[in-house]
Amino acid sequence: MMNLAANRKMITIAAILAACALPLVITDEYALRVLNVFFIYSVVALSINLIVGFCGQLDMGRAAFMGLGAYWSAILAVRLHFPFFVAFLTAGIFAGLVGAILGFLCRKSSFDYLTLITIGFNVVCQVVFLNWIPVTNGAMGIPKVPVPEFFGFAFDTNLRFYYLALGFLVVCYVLIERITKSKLGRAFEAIRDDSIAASYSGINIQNFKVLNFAIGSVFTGLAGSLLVHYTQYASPFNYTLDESVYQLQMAILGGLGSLPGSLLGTLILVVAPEISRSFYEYRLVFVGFMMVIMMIYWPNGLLGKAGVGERLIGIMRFRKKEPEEAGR
Amino acid sequence: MIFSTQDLTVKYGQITALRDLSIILESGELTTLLGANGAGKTTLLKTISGLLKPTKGCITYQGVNIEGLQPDRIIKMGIAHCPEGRKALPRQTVYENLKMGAYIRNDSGVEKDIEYFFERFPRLAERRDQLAGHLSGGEQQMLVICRALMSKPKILLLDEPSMGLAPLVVKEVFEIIRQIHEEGTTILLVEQNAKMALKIADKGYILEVGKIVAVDDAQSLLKSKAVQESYLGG
Repeated sequence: MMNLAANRKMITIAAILAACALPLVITDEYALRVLNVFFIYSVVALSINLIVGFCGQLDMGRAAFMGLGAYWSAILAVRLHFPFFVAFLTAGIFAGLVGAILGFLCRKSSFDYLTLITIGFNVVCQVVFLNWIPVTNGAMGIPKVPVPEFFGFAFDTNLRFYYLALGFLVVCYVLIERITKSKLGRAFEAIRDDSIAASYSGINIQNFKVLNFAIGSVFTGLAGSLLVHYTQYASPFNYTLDESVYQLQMAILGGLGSLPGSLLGTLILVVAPEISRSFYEYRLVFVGFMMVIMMIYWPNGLLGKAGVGERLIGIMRFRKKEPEEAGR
Repeated sequence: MIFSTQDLTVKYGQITALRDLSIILESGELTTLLGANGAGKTTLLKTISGLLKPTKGCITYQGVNIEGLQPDRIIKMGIAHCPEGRKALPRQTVYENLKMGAYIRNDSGVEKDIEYFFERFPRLAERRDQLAGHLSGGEQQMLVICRALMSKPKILLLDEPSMGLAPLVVKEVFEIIRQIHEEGTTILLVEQNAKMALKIADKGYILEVGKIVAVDDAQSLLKSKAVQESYLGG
């Protein structure tokens, strides 16, 4: 057991170092751009995993929270000339607050209704982005969002932004992993698995659901803010229901309840459409087809329970420990 | 008297599930509540632990009215509930399940208590890192009882611990309940297996369609003709 944990740590550190060294190999601006988008969307997928995968609240309106973070940040930076990190951090807090309010309003809603409410919320947000012209500039969007800047150092090239986005992903990943491994995380999982048993363990289900929704929304809002500072343009058409579904698919493809799975799922769904850019229009067909295949072979996602990852690990373990396993 | 209900009435919409129900639990005693399907046994336990709200009547625990409080508050006050149908958390390990039971506790004795249960039930210790969903029915029941005890309750509510278990396993589970009782925990045991329950109980209530029809000490109930005819198969 110790060995496995130590191995895992080594793999994690090796992966981070490899990611740091990657720009030495990949110097193509376009490829770096895809990777930067991948890092940011990974955080979105992780936040979806925290809400859907760990707490069992099927939220289909994550793009709305990305949009809230993005617009908050863009308005603060462009209109009110706040520095980047103020806009960035308050965007997370703002999205978290809205998440807490929405979570509080549907704390008593059962599974299906929560999903419907989040879909509705996403549509409402999009309509607001599109039509509240004095604030959001309507369909024109907010252009010229400043690039991230810390104390005079601007992350204005793809390479510089690469390290910012990587750092952001690592910090969010570690935080979310800590949450899922903590007492709080166990409460979330208990609510997902059996809410009655959870309430008999002294967990106030409604409060924890609201908390889970709020924490997840903070991460989504931060990711939305960072992305808008990277693309330098807040467009209302980036935060549609389609986008939410696509983000949800990232988390589901990788495996709900598996954090590395969220990264893998995001990687596939961000990189695959880029590789086949000429087939971009058909990406939903491609993803739909992939989902059908997944349902049949790996219903819990690629790295979820009994997914590809677990099977590989199972095969490796089985080879090592054959005599003991046979003895059972 | 550590706990009592007075004239408790609970309704599901228009249907009255419990009618003017009054029971008393004495500190340290094992009280059993017997009744057929649909008599309202589970409804009573759910009402005590706060999942259902009574329309009338009150529940008193250590001199305080607790009806209508949230379930987590009631557990914190020392009433643990072992739900019907073995609600172990299937995707968490045995160890994690026990840890969940201690969710309301902040003291440092949690690990020690988990070790205590592992020592006492070696079968759980063997399966420490297995998922609870992979355990047998009897082991899951053992685990759920231990999980409820992890919150260090003063009163333990047990909802049909024998349901769906093989006769030999039922015996084992009842032996555990008897031991917990001997250690001084007040227990309210809801059962359909009247004979087994009355054998280990101090006092028994008999519930029929939402009303108490008989109350006596367990030995007399075991011998009484009416009970024998309706619950013990003549």
